[in-house]
Amino acid sequence: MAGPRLRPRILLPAALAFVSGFAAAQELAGFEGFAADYCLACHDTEKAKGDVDFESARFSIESPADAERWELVRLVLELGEMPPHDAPRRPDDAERSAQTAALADALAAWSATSNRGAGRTGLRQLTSTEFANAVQDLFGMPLSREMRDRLPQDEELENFDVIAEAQRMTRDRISTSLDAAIEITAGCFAWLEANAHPEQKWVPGDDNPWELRGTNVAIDSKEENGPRTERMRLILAALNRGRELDPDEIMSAPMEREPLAIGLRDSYVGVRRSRYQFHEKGLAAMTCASRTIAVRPPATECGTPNVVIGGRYRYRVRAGSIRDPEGKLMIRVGIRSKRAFRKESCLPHVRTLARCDAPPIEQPADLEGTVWIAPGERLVVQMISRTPKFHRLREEDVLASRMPGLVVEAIDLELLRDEDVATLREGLFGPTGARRETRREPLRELLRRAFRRPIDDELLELFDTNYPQAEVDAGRSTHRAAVADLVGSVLASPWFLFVREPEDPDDPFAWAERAALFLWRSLPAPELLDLAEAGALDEPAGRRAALARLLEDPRSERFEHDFLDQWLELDKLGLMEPDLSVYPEWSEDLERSLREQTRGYFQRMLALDRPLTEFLDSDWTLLNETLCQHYGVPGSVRPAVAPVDLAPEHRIRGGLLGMGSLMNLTTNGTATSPVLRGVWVLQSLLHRFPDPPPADVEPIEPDIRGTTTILEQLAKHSEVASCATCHRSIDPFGTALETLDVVGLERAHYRRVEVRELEGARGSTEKAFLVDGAPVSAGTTLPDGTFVDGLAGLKRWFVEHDELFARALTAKLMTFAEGRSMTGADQKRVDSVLRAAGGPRAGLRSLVETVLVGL
Amino acid sequence: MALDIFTTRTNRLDWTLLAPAAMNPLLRAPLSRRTCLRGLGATLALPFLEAMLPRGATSVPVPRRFVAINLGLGLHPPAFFPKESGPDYETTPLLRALDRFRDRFTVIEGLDHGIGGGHYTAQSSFLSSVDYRASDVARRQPTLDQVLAEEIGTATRFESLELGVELVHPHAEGGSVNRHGVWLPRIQLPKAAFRSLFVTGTKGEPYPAALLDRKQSVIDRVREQSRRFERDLGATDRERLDRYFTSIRAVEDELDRIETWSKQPVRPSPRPIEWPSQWDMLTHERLMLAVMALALEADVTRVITLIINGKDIVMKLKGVTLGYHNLSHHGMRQDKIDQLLTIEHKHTEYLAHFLGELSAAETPDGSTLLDNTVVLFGSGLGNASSHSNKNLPILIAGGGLAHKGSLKYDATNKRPLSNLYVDLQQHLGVEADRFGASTGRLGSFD
Repeated sequence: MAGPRLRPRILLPAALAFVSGFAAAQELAGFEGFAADYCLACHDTEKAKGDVDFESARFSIESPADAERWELVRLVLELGEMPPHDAPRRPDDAERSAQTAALADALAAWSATSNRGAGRTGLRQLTSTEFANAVQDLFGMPLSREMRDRLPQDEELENFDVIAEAQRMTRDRISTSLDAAIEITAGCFAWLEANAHPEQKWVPGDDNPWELRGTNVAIDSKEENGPRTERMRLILAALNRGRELDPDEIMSAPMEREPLAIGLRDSYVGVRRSRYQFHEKGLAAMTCASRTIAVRPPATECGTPNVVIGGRYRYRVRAGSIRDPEGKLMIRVGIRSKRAFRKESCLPHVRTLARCDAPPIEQPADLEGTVWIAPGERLVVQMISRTPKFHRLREEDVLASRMPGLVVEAIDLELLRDEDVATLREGLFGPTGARRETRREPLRELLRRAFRRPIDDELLELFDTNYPQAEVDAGRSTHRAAVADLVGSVLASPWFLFVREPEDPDDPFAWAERAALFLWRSLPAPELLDLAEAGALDEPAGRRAALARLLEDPRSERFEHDFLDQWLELDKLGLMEPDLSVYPEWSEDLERSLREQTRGYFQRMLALDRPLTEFLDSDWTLLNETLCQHYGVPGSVRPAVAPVDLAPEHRIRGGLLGMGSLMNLTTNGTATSPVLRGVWVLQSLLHRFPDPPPADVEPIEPDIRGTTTILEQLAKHSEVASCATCHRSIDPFGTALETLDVVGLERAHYRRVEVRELEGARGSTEKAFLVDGAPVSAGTTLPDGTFVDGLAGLKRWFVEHDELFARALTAKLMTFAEGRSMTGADQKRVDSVLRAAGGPRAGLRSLVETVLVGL
Repeated sequence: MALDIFTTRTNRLDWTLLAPAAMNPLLRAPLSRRTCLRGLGATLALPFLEAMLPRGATSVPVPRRFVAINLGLGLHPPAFFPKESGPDYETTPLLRALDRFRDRFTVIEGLDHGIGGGHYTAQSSFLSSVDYRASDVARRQPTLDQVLAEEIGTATRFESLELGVELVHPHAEGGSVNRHGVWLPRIQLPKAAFRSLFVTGTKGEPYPAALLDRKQSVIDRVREQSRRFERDLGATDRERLDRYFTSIRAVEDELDRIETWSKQPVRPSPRPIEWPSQWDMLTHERLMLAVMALALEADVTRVITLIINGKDIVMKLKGVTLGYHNLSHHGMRQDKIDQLLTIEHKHTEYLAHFLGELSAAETPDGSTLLDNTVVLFGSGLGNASSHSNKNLPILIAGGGLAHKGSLKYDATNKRPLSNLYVDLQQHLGVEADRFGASTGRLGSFD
């Protein structure tokens, strides 16, 4: 939930005698004439419409309250809300923008002298996401799902979690830091142990990449996948004895031959049996296991044992279908954790890594990539249905093994070794870490990376005392416990948990820190710290070069992901599932495709430095087969989304506003609401934060029986004068989008469910039909007086006012980068960043770089 | 490490594993119930003996307890509120399951907090009357359960217990807020709740004694060393760092508390819980309530909050085909209302079972647990279909209150729900005549 902004009534009384002791008053003399010309007709002392009075106003900024009020005046002018479009006299655009610019200047000048910490972020915390990423990058080991779930949730303001002002230091933040240190230390020791016993590789052969070994191979004794075969028992027995496996012995063990079939239905029908076989490339499995998931369609899966040592793994999966001539099946590779609340994935417990159509097993598909796997998680291969609707299977067919199935030939999982991290781990957790002299340099390096700056001897000595050397030497404590304490003291210390605003604005370490937090949502890598130390980040050119490397790194996906979630609230997609009786086209596949479209669009904009205006309108978008069918656009790429050129008749789908994802997340799932969508447009695309409705307003009850439309209900609502003030600027943006329904399809009528009685052979039955309800009318007058009709009109308005959007996006990026909300006083800086990047038609990447270079 | 008291085969409890590992002779160790059972060779449940009460509780003042159950999606008003007022009202579809307790609960119509905001405020403001959207962290006021916990929760192992049956981040906003304006995390699995209450004696991860010591000394050093960090900060930043030091102190307090209680034995209730092999949301809800009854019986806590948030799960109930949240937006379609009521019946049915367990449990003074436990059951949504926060469904049970059957207030008079909270507060011994947005007492149970 976005933090609301207090929006006081605009009273501008001269008598308000608050004078700041520090600030130099900013005169707004130029505005007085403008107000006299255009505003006084309504906003004189007598009428004071909307409680705004310019007649007795003081045309200067002398207090924070003044600044807030004049900022509101600036916002209203900028959008052209005032003077109203039916006013007898209206300024032309040039005059209006000159006044808004003058106001922005005055606000900036006032805050510069007000000494109120404006323009300063101050001490900000690592958010929980940043904390988890930082620990992962620091030790090369992700925190377990349980641990991540225990990290406190961040307070949000303007939908961003990085804003210092809203952040809250809590007990949990510190106690979870200590617990994270214990978990990480345990992981690092397990890793050292596994490294010390390379003979425990459980697949013979030097070229074999199977790296789950040592303690890793302790396969969960509560194996869920049904009875084990003789061969599996042998493998397990060998593993438990800790000896190498004899492939001949294994391969000669009896094993079931017949592949099994898996039923796909909304409630699972299947056979519970599993089979593992030994493959020359590691563990191969083909399995049928029943697994019912309460919320979503079931998936059948097989996978590796739970991983004990967290880290970055390379996975390779080879699989194909059997008895599937119609190509109904797909393969999905994912990470299953024991418990995860649903945010990204549709299946609550599985994070998808890759998926593809299942080819016949004779030409199996190879899926591979690298992935972070946390302790307690495992890699699974799932069989899912290609079509969103599930095939209805007959049980006897399933039992007779006539149904399509998936054969997983091989799953290879290899723990990758990052030399940088490995050296640090060995130095600190290994035997060298147990002695004060040899611990010194590894500890200095850990502190340098964790605290993002060079470490002097004083700080090094200070932290070294956190290793209870005397206790260890006397045998009262172990190295393992002592090093956990040391790591705990690092992770709970303010140097790690806080981001400081540097005294010297050109401090290269502070810049590296903030650039890394922005693009990687994590600590700067050691190489970046090296650059800072070498003075390579002092000049814009050096910073640009560093940014290019940050953006190249896969870690920059975290920026694309988190920024999009916070800017467009994309994380809310799917939280409100549409009513399937009204929107039968909704499916898990559609939801995922819609999400991928929006994410992919942003990624492509960034990678290709596409102009910002393409967020508003474009002749391309990203689609797959599911989306093509959904939107009615020709094309058949699958399963991943790919760029598609839009013919003129489909141009409506270009840009953000044509995306079903955003149209869905701005509804309650059942019905569209012009208010919700209007607020979303204002917040996300125009960076304006309307007041929450007053407490005593009774919300509109949606009536999906089809007797009245939401617009008719809303019209009544807006007749009330107190509501009209705000709704006049909110509703039009949402009303124009009424042409798109809950799932983002164009409509001329509201959908209505009609229950009809049908006379059949066995008497009458009731059946629900979808019929056209009341017609949609999306013609509306925007706050600046422009009449638009539907999405096309709204897009046109946005294209004509691309500067408003570009400023909003710049402000969002700067908020995310600086950790504070951008106010009127920052508008001048926002504008100059945007100008430096190339104005409203600047490329997205250029804009991001400009924001970051100037940090 | 945590004792694993679940034998893998039956998941039944083996209470012998609960014997305390070490007892501090300085603390007068209360007698464990198990020891009693063993000594007497008894197999039947015994009444609690005075000696089994925690230290300092020997005078046996009747303990006061408070349970709040907050339904995220409300209750369909026409099926909940009786038409008549007074004790002889005709029961309603949703109240039918509770009818056997008719003289021990009161249904109240016509109260709300006078704030809007739909789901968000419905859940987050129900126990506080504060619209957290509009108030910054510093001015956040604690929720009713936390205010009460400070008064009636201090003599037990846990001052309060926060539970949730929901599909959100355990730290997500919307549960209880403590005095420092912090949202408290909720335990979301009945098994986890059970374990933390009875197995390790801590709310979070299990703390072996040695680890506890180490954590204390790490925290101690971190606090000392952070003074160096403070050196080069400006005034505003120092203020923020102050909160860091406050949090450090809170961690120390928590560790101290865990240490104290880890030396006290747990007095478990002899009733084991059968954990099912299949879980769904309603099973969670039923078992959470079972754990809550156990917790009250064993007196490990006296203040419990349970959040039940439906999200859009399709409940495994006959005739229910749509998600819970979806159904709550029934848009007046009868078929959806019917499905919704099937789910809501379960809520009141489980509540009735919970009240039944409390009324069956005797306390040392001879009264039942229900007699000294105030149960507040309700929702911050008056009408989920329109997201209305007006005229909230409220049911108060037990607690030795003078129950009135059905109470109806004229909603147009805008009586704050907080007034009821003032009544409850006073009834439970908190000497305060205000709570949140209250304008006075409601006086409904006088």
